[in-house]
Amino acid sequence: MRLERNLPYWLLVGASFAWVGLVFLAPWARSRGWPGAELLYAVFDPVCHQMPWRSFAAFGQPLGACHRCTGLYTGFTLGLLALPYLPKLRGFLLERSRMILLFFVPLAVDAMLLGINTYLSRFLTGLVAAFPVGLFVWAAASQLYRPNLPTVSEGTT
Amino acid sequence: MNGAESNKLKPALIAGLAAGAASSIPPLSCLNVCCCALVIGGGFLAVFLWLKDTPRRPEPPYGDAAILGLLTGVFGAFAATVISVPINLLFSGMGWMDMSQLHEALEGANLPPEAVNMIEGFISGGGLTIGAILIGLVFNLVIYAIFALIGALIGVAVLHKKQLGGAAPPPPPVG
Repeated sequence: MRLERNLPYWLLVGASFAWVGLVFLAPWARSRGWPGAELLYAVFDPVCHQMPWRSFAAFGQPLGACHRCTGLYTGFTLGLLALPYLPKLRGFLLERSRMILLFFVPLAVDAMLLGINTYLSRFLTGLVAAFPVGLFVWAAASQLYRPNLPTVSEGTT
Repeated sequence: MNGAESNKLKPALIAGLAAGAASSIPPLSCLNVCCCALVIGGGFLAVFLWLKDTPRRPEPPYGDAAILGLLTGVFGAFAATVISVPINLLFSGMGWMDMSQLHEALEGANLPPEAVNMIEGFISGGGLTIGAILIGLVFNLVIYAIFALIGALIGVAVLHKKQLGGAAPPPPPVG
């Protein structure tokens, strides 16, 4: 599958940074008494428990998402940025796409260790789980952007 | 793209309704705090249903799966918003739960104060106004579309089976 760093790719990167940015913008806005701060927290409310004792803090306030969700969003963004420079891993994941499940194993194990896991394990396992997901969103964007493009077996940038 | 491949509405509707309903009914809805697991599961389910009726392809149809995920998210957001209205009314409007008793029970459970506030807020429900419902719908549309799309893409990565031999299917008989 041919993947290019074209307009959809950069839009994806921008959207990912914006999403991660919202996680950090929420405590900043609340610390300054900005009226829209609670709205920013509300964005993540449907997808995250936002428990303060299971979230990183910045500006004296909890982030908009918990340790694990922050790890997931960061991992997704890092994956989007790093995978163009990791052609072997990219080719492997595209060729054997079921292997994406392996990246979720640490997260699942960590989630089951409810009383033992730490903030670092929650963040890192989230980061690992989401790392390859951006590749498939990138592939979808590439197919939709130029669906009739002739395909080759390995990705190039 | 033929007719069978383009027919994404039915699987999107079924999976969207399932994800929306599951996301609205407590305590099942609590699973969504695990990174929107129910909505991601909805996207995954939509792909599962769609691939059953779709001919195999040499490459995974990520683009089509993304559209399917978006559709599932839209249906799921509407379903969740509609179903959550009577459920919120049931919990907050009918007064069948005595909040003072609940508060005492939670205090006795040695939970952190933040957890007590969170559970009380969940049980008592927010103000149920048209404005709140519409804002909730807008939030749901964005969140459900994103996470159902990701679920659909994970689904196609896991469930897609390559076309055997790489040959195109025979054309239908003419005449």
